[in-house]
Amino acid sequence: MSDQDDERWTTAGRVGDLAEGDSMVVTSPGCPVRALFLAEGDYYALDDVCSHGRSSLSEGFVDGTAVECVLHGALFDLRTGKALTMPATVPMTTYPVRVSDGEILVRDRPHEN
Amino acid sequence: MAGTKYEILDPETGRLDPSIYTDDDIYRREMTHIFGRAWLLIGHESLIPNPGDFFHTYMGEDPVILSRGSDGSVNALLNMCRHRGARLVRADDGNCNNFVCSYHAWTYDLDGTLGYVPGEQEVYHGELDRSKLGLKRARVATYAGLIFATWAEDAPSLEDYLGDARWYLDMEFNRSGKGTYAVGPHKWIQPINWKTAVDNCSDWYHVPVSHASAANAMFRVLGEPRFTHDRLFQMRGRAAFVNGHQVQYFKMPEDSLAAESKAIPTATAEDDTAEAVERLGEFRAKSVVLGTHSLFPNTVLGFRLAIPRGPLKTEFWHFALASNADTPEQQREVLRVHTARNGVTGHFEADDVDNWRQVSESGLSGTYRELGQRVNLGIGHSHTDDVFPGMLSDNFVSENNHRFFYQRWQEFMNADSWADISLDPQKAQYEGTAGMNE
Repeated sequence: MSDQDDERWTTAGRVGDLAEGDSMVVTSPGCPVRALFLAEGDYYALDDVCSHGRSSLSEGFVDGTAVECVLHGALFDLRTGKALTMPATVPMTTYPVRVSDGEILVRDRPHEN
Repeated sequence: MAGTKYEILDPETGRLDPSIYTDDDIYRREMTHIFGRAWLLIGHESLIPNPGDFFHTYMGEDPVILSRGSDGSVNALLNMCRHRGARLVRADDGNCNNFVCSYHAWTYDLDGTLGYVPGEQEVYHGELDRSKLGLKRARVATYAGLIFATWAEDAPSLEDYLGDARWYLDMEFNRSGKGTYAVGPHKWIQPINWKTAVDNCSDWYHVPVSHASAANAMFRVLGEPRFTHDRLFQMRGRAAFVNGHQVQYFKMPEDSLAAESKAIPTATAEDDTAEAVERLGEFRAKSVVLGTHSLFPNTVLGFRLAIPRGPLKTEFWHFALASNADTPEQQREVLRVHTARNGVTGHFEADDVDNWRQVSESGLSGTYRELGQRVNLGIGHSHTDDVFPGMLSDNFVSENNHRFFYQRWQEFMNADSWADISLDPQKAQYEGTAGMNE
């Protein structure tokens, strides 16, 4: 049995629900709220609550493969969760995303890092 | 008190005694041992272009008249009447034939000679020796239009005082034979110790942090990537130190990441290169870009005076310096940029002042005085170079210059006279025709 059979994945939506540069909130029981993005043709998922303050990254501005938090302007790399600018210094937790049969799936368990 | 020797910095650990910012005795001593001895920047030739012009300035806390004599000479005169100490000049600047005291009308010529005393025969009975009662004169010297003065008869020449720092400073102040002119000053007071504004000149470590929001706005407007820690640590310039003067510089093209940004302040016109090559030589004109800098003790950037008004009070006089070689549009741009970033209206200024205030006030806490500050970035990471003068930091981001500045401060504070104050040996090679005043 592959890893994926033991993992829980949450269906966030269908391909086409998100336009390029857009985001949506993904909720599933037992998980923190996640933000899902479509950036430069790929899907990325991070914890929704900014590591710097009480703000929702799903409300942020997508800039290339980064998202800018609306509250204080911190930039995070969507691919790695890395805090790219002040005032954020703590990276965001990221989650694998895959597409299967037109469905966008976000893994409940984050990337190891 | 006269015998006290100050040991306020441990160069091995960077431990710095913060009472240097708050102690009244230390402040008083700074007035005599530093501001009474050093060459102080007091103005610019363009502020007093014509005979009779005067500009009121300060040397430490001493009020000083900077005047242009009828023969074109530059005078720096203590603005205190020899009779009872009243001020002669009560205006910021102007033009006049002589200086008349408003108390008893003792009248001084533009060069400070006591020319006329009412009742010299009637009530002084001809017993007054006017020749011994002129306004106290400071020694004056100029460099590229900048006017310096010192009270110390035994100070070295200005040229020796600047030493090899001038090799760098030429690149900002001496590019054009047409010279520069000063605009301003803006004047305002901040509740900080003057030294915190000076050591900040070499502090790049704080830029992505303190200036995060202002930098974001600026870099967005310039169309450049955000100024992150990553970008800062990639910058490859150096911090250089000579005789108390701090200079940050970038060597092209290796340090191009730094210098290609329009955010790095330079005072050069785009098409001045031919003249700059003639005056500075090819290398200095084209391959080296100046960053932030300061002159010992209290001159910042290009140029601002940090005038001490008390341990926790500093009056800033902020000038913009434009080049006579620039077009009017370029001159306007220089002035616009100058006031946008730093100065009383500057975006970056507001961030800095908060830091300086807190650093200054740390000396008020007995608990913190016991701990001491740790000015420890870059200890053991410095070198010298055959081409670039001074002690150089290995990394652009360093506190080497901070530590050297406080060591220089200590040297002045502990010296009984200029005989005890050292000058770095002069090794710089000067190409081109530019000199102190050519």
